[in-house]
Amino acid sequence: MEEEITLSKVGMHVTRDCLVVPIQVELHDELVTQIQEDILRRVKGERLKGVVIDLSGVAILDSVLARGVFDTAQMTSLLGARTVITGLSAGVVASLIDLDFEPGNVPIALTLDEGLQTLEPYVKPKEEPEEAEEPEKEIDQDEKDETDEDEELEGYGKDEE
Amino acid sequence: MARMKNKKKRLEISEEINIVEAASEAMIFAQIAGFTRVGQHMVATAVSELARNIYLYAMKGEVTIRVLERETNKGIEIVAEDNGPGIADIGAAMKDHFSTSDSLGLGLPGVKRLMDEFGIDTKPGVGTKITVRKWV
Amino acid sequence: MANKKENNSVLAPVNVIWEGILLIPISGTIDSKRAQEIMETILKKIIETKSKSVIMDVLGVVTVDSAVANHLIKITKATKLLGARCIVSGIVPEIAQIIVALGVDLGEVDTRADIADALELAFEVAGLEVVKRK
Repeated sequence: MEEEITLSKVGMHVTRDCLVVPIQVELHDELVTQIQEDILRRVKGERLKGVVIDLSGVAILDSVLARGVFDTAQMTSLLGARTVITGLSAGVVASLIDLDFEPGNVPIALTLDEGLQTLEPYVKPKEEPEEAEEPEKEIDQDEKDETDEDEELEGYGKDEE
Repeated sequence: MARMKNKKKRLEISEEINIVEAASEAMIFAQIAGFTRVGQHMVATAVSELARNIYLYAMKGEVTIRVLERETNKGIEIVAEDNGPGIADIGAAMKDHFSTSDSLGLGLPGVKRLMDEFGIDTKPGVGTKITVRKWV
Repeated sequence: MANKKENNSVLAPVNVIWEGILLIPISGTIDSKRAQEIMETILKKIIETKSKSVIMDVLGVVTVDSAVANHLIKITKATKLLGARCIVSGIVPEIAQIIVALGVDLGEVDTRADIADALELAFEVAGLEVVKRK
């Protein structure tokens, strides 16, 4: 996938239907805003349903920067996408706790991979509907679990009941 | 790398980018002092908050980072000072805000929690000097 | 200095009692410094073992007052920031009375009377079930 030229120059790519944003540079206020804009633009433009923002490459994260990142997650949900934040270090967590930081409802995972896993149910296109073709409408609940073959047999059997 | 001889560094805060620069320096000093990674981050975060206050409210000021040594262990001292508006009501400034999304807050209670010692010297119209210390 | 740290870890060792489930039996007294150290240890271990549940057993803690309760709340919030869940076990009736009487709101913290109950919850969270062999 070609990488768009982004405002923030933070490389973002789409993997497993999710926008993956691995942040490998030190964050500062202006950069966070640029990253936010890039993410929102791509989510809207490509109709993406999932985003993973990985902070494992960020050494310093204070309350304002964290707020910016977590707010970005909230914003994507307004666009119908779900964002998972990953890669928080023990140091970042301990610091944010002392600063009374409230993460809100933003989902968090430890690693980028875990983040993608969490998003799977939300980004995967819906499975083929189970009620494919029901040959007879009289088939009751129990029989729905059986295979088509069984259904046919049951169908035959039903006539006898 | 920081000047290890003096184990002290003074940084000017006048641009937004200075905030994260000061925090990064502080992290390095904290590492030199022997803090764990978690401790290093707490020091860096405290500096970030203090530097940001200078940038936002005083527009210009200084952050001085110093490694401390006493018999039993080492520590770090950060002095953040400016000639800004000063804080009129310290009591209010030191109270935790009702909502943490309150961007009007100075984050001082948080800085106090991150560090071991906290001192503030401020006069409206003159400036503010905040001194914090943390021991390994 | 090294001794002090060792003692602390002996008094609050972190055990991986099941894949993704940590158990920390805490005994003695908990002051700010100790709480901070315990929190740091837990956070590092969660990251290292990718654990989703942390059981903190406080049966051996000498006094569980509002300060200690606040430390536990703080540690719980921290584990949440790593996508994990904290369960405090070892809450005896007397402690439950004190906490409520003190007006401490343990709202977000899951508590259980003993480790077995906490483990049951942790299994639930992990989507695990204990099944007897045939």
